[in-house]
Amino acid sequence: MAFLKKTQQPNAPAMPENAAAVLAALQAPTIEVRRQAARAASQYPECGAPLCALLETEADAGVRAHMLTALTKMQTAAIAKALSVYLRSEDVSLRNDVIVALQQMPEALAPYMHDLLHDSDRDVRIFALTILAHQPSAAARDWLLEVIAHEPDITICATALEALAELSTPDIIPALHTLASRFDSDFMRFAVNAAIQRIQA
Amino acid sequence: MSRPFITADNRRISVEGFCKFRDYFYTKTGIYFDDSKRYFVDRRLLERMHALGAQNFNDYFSVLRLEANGAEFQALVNLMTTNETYFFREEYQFKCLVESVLPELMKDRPPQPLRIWSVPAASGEEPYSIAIYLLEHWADVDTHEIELLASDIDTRMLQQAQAGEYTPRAVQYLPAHLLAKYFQPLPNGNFLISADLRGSVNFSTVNINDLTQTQAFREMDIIFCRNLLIYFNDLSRREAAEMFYEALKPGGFICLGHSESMSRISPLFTARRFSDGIIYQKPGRAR
Repeated sequence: MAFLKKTQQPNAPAMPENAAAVLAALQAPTIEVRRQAARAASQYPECGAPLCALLETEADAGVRAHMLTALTKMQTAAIAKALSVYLRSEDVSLRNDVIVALQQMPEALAPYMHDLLHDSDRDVRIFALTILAHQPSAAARDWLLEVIAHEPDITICATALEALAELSTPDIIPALHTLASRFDSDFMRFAVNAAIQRIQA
Repeated sequence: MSRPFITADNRRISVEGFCKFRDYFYTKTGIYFDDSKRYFVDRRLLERMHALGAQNFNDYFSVLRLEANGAEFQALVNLMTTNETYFFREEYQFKCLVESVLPELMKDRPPQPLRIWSVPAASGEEPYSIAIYLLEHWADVDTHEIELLASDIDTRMLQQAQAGEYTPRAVQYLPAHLLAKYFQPLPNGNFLISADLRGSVNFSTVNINDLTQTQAFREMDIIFCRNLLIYFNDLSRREAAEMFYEALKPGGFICLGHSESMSRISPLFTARRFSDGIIYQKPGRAR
């Protein structure tokens, strides 16, 4: 029979055993060592800020994924704030990974959501809505309602409307009619009608 | 003084108790019980409280968290994990393994054992099915050394797996000739898997949420992790995916259950479409 009765486990690289060792290993030239360090980092809250900073320079997607998972596990307001900076990043992959991470930390991000939804950068406002759309909660619904009440950009309002249609109940329909009346636009009237139909379905 | 987490009639656990336990169990195992699992969880907690003679949930919860040898935690894990499976479940993946994955993996490969990890192994149906399928359908089975590892968090299940005794229900989808070839009928109506097969699988207890325990599982060519991640929440799934990424060789493959998609869990793997199904691959050149 071809099956081996006893197996020889390969030697595993040692896990860093304290925060200083984790941070040192995160700078190592070997990808595997950095991945191991990123996995271990979630056990050390003091690694949060340096980990956020290192995201920008980490070139390996696997290491970055491990770093973001560790940060999601630690999720603090400071981490959410530091991550939200990357919503302005030109690195699409990093930005998308950060959006996914921020979707997982609604409470940590809540103190900064107002600022993100009122950011002067239109793209940041859209990314904030993308985060909210994956947070089915009363707080998310309230943020989205505020956007459709005040946001001047029709595309951003349509993005918020789409998210609301997924998260809401018929009691928000008057707010949707108000939104339709704010823009003299066939597109917005169509979008509002479609959202109402979805909510009532 | 903290509020007791069991209600006055001593037959129900309060919402606060349930939530406190849920958070603790999730932190330790990655398994998350949503509100719909309340009855399932409460029943098992009360069963263990009764077994230990705990007067209220607080007392039991203290034992659970503080007991040095972790025996009660393990007993509870054994109760909380579900282990319904059978031989040749989702057989199309074994076909895919033999007809598509192995030819690709073994091509131009230097001599070294093929390493396969089945987790969760439950009571052994999956790893034994892999062994039987390879023996029956892989033409090169005798020209390669194979290490078949099988792990589960549930020690009671692993004992059953090593004993190798199965009910007629567990073997109902096995072709009759394979049942006759690899199993011995027992007087109680069950079937005992052959000693050779029992010796072919290396069983071990592993909590895949435990960094230290999973460190030892490396250099895998193929991982079977089917119908486990559905019990995890998004973050635990991602952590598990990253652990599997660490455990695989570059170019190694991971098979998930038919309702699971790695693409929705982690961007680390490449989805490979074969004629018999989708299997996920760690990027990199197989070596």
